[in-house]
Amino acid sequence: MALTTTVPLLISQQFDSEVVLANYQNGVYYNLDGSAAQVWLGLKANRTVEEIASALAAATGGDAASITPQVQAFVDSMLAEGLIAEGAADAGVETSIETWAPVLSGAFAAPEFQRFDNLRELLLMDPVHDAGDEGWPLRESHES
Amino acid sequence: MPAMKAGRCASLMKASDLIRQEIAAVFARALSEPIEAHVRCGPFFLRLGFASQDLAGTFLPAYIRSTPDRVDLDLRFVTADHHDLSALVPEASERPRLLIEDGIYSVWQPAVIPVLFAVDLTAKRGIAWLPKGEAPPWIRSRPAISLIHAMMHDTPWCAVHGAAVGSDAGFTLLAGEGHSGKTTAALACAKAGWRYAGDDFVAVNSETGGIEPLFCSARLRPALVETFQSFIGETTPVSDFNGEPRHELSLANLGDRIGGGRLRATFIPRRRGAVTPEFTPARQSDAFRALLPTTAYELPGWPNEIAAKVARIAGLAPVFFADTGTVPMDIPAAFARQLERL
Repeated sequence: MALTTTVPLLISQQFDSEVVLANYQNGVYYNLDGSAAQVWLGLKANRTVEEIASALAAATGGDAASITPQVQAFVDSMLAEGLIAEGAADAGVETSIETWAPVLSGAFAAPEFQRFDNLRELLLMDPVHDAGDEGWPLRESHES
Repeated sequence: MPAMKAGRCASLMKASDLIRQEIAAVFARALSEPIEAHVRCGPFFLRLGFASQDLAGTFLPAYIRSTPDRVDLDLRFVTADHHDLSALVPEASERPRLLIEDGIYSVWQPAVIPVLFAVDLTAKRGIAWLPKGEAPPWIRSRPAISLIHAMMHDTPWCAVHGAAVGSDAGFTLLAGEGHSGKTTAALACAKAGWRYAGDDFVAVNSETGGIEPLFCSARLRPALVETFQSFIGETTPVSDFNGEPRHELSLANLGDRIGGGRLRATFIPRRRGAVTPEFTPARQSDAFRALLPTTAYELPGWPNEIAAKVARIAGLAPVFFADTGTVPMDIPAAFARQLERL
């Protein structure tokens, strides 16, 4: 199954070994640190779950067989949360495919994301970003 | 004077063409409005026209007066009594809309009290149309900020949700959600003689770290009036939205102390029980998270561009969590000491 980190309405930003994702439609934002950030960055570089797990095992001295299901479970949770999507691989990542490698120190820890939804109430007040794809449908002329 | 009717050929036109036509019609109808003013708003200079004294009284106090040397945007505030722009209101008018098309940027915000903002970026002309003749309180304190956001597209400037104040040691950007203490800290510093660039939204250059005020307004919770009474004057208009009363302040009487400078540090105010202000190093990502959500939400359009600018701004200067303590007027000295250490 091909996965993409390019998701409509989702802003992503990498800060060193940390990734912040923000859904600007519903106001929920997420923090990915440690192995979670590395999994997301691996997906962004078009790596498969197995490739990511092997790389994480190599970087942490862990066991790929035990890491793979943890990575798969995290990928499933990101899919369910809408942080990644099924679809064509991300465009423009050819160079990163060669250079991507996980940056982790210490033993492998199961990946997880932090979710912040304390802005939802504010966003529901005046959700301009709910405008959607309909554009600006004009009404019939008042004088026609 | 009867209201002019828009939309003669609405059903045959692209939305951007109709909006451009109606903006031109508003300006063609009257070469000038009864009340005019020249103001600056971030890096831009605006000529404002108000169709009535009431409109001027509602919006003008938030603006920083300037000289008529330059006009980057000619902006008119009108109501349905002056111009009938109802043909511009999109179908399913209960839904908010955003249009970015052929040099036209337009926002329809129907919530509670509807308002239409539109700008022709080529002609450098914009309108704020208030169908009911009144405006939501949060728009009064930062009028037409979405149009300023549109003008910042393709520039390094970004209107960010935060407060900013500066002393000889440089400017600090105060980032955080509502109730985090931004206004308290900013007003305490202004009362102590600092330069004031805003308590809600400020303009930041994502390449240079330059900060400029957008407005000279502030929104103060009633509980803090006593602390700042001598500073803000005897009476101020009070708004109440969603059960949150606010004193709508104009700090225009600060004069030259309404101004900007260079970003030296980003502080993220929070209340964790410290009696005196305390600072804890924070990460660039903390500043990003503090700045981005409300910024991206309040400014419709180009969210990824906003995120990229905010990420750059978050990396321009050291970032600290600031537990601002229990005594507001202790904040300025603590901020000054922290800035001078950098």
